[in-house]
Amino acid sequence: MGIVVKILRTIFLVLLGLFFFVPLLAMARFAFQSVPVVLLTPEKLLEGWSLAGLFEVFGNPEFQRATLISLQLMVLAILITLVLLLPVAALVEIRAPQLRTAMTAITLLPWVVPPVALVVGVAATFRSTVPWFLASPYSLVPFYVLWALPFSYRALDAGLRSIGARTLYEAARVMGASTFTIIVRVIIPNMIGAIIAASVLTAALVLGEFAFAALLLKETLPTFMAEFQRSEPRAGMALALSVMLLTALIIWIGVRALRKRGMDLQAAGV
Amino acid sequence: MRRRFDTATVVVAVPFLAFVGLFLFVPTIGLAIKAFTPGGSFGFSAMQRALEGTYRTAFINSLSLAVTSSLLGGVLGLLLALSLKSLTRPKWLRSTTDSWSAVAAQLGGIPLAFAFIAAIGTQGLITKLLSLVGVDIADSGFSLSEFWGLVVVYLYFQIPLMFLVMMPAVGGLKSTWGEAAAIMGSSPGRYWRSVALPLLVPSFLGGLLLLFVNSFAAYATAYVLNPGAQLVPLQIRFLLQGNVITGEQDLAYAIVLWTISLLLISLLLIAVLQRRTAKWASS
Amino acid sequence: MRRPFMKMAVPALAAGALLLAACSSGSSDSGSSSAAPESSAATSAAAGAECGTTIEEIAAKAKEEGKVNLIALPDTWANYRGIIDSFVEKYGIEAPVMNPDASSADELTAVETLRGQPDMPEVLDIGPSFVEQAKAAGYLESYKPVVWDEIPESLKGEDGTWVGAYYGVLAIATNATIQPNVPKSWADLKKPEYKGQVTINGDPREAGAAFAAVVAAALANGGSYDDVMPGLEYFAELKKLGNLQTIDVTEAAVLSGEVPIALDWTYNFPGLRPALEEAGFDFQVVVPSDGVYGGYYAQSVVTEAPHPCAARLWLNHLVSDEGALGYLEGGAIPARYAALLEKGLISEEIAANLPPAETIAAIQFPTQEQVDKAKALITENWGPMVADQ
Repeated sequence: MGIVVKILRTIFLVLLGLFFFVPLLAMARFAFQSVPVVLLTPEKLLEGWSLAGLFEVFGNPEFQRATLISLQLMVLAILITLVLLLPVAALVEIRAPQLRTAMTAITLLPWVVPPVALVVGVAATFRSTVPWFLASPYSLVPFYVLWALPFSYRALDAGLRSIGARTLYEAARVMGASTFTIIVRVIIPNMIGAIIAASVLTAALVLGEFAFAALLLKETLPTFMAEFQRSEPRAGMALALSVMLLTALIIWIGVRALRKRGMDLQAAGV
Repeated sequence: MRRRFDTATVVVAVPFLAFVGLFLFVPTIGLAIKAFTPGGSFGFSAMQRALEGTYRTAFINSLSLAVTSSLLGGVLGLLLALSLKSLTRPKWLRSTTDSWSAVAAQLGGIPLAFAFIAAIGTQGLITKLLSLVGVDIADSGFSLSEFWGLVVVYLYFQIPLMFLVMMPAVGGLKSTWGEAAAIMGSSPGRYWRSVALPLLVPSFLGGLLLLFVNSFAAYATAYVLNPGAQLVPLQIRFLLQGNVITGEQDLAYAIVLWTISLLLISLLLIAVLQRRTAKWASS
Repeated sequence: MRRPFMKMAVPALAAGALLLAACSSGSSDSGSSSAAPESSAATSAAAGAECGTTIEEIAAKAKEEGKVNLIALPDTWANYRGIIDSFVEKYGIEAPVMNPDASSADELTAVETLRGQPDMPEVLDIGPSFVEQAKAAGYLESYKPVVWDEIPESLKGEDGTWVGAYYGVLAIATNATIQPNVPKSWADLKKPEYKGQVTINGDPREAGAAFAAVVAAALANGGSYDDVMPGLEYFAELKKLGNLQTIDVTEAAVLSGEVPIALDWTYNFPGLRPALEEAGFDFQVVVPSDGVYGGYYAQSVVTEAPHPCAARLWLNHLVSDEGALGYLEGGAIPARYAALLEKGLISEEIAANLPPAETIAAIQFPTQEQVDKAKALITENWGPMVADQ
């Protein structure tokens, strides 16, 4: 690779890095320093810094409750996504690749229909059958699974394609294995990277999803943060920043652990 | 022996179809029905109004915003994937980018919008720093609330999204191929055209579609930066979730129906393009 | 390999989905549950009548219920935090607020979605435009609070379906540290020094405060409640001059100074004041001298409430003296302002937070027809006239 290309690459990465980092920096400065930009002078640079607002929130019982619920919803959403989607994705890739376009359409649809339309529509159905469903906080799980479909289906589908699931399947069939055995003992173990990727994206999404939770009057981490940002703008931004960084950190740890085990996320990404 | 009703197929397909049917199809069909029965009786008035005047402007604006942010975000995301693939040092860069992208890809709303306001808004940190050096952002006409401001903010989640989409394809580009091609005397351009691009293009097109839908439907960020922007998701919100307009749900559902049609058209377009490039790749 | 199952399954499921959707969309059209509006209201009213007629009786029954589900009441909006706290302290009843940022439409959606469930919101706080819709859907209970007679005519529904417990005036709030020249009228706002600084809270097609700004601007420029076109023209001009900034008035944006001049209800500012002063900003709120618009929100007990007595108690609390003082602290004008004035409950301090007494006395609210007409005009014209420029 030429030296020119290498230099360009470095410049590009640095610029992009700045693009992603600087807004966060500005947000952090606003969150932790109570001096507004217009009054900021070199003398005042070190004035007004405080982490107190952030620590106060962590001790807030409402916050803790909301976080717990969000974490539970996250785990459930991941489980149901995998249970529902993995077999279907495998089936489409192995047996019916002509359905891929239809699946793409179906899995992109949730982003096009506004959440309020989905909630009102689902409520109408459930009211006559199982009215208490929407009152339970777990009613958010199906909506979250739906909302994550564009990401999660993509991740699983890409994973299946990259391991050559079709070939694997056909080879195993020739040797007499049943479809079920093949999926469980051949396909899935080779797809751990993609499964992790799908789970991680679903997790990040659940921890950031606001619309459905607000419409169904549930208290989750994002709804707590939204209200908190209204009454305490500074601490609210600090909280948002912390949640972002913590989520990234947890994902980072997971990704590193995988890489050590040789299960490259990259090979199966999204 | 051919099994027509394979147990596996049934076990697998039914739960998924039932889930998608109940939570996605039923509401969508419900709203489609409402879009075609404005005011209780069958008619096209809602569908027609959804394409006129201020709603037409909103469609055009949303379209250009989505196309621009998808193309820019797509190209930059692809370049990011390519750059990181060939980079082996520093070691932490890859995993950091992976993890940060997962978080950034679904960022939006007040935190994202405000991060940019805090950086390059009229009272932004960077704005102030630049003004000390004599550069005035506001004077140049740039505003976070206008088109290019929105594009810049949207890029914050579009680029990571495309990065995540392209990683498997880029990962499949074995570096040895490039070396082999060079050894055999082909130019870098030839390598790209015959080997790399055909491998990357299908995923890239699929990623563009994802980015397009993501940005067309993105509403929370736009709402904070410019609640009055003429964009489709905001218009829908005015009609369905506002404090002023009442009784216009059918119009909103008509707009949604047109958006779904747009999605299907783009999907078909991308599928056609993917098939074309697959042919070109194998030729 | 044939997939006949798939071929059959998809159309079958699609047909099933269509059937389900048609049935459910038919029943949810009016938004009410299976019972007709009148009968549900009747059964509710019957249940409610058992709550009692004096505050003490209602409080006793409410205490047994233990909780009232509230919605759409942000902490810093008209000091709802203080009002809720005083309610909880006085009566010992829980009053959780779900989805504080809910719009009026969201509130009605929530009632529809959670109808019959223990979580259903029990008292609504909606914009006046939504009262008709809520009434038609059968959501509004005809309940007249104990102090009904002291509430002015223009702030209550004849049939007892709603009261306007508080109202506010549209004011101009200026961050005087960033903009020392504080604008005092609508005409002032056109001055070139305010380039890129004037902000309305949201879009008039969606937000009550922004709608109010347009109507108030109309009043200041030769229009009236029947003709709000001058208001649209005013904002079109403001946009053309470059004075109108289109960012949303979020608390963080005000605190960072991004929004130097905000047009919003008087009661939206006191909540922010402490943070602003801590930051070192000089924040001044002025009611424009040339166009005064008073806007109220309608409160109503919801039919088929899971905790009917607690809901009635809450409504009574809002219009009681404590509730009224709570609103005053938040910069809002309570419905029974005149009554409180007579009782001498309005101190100097409180009066300082409010617009001058003459302004309050002169406030007139538009009728439902005038609001509808203004709505239609703004919805059609704001886009082409202002947003597109």
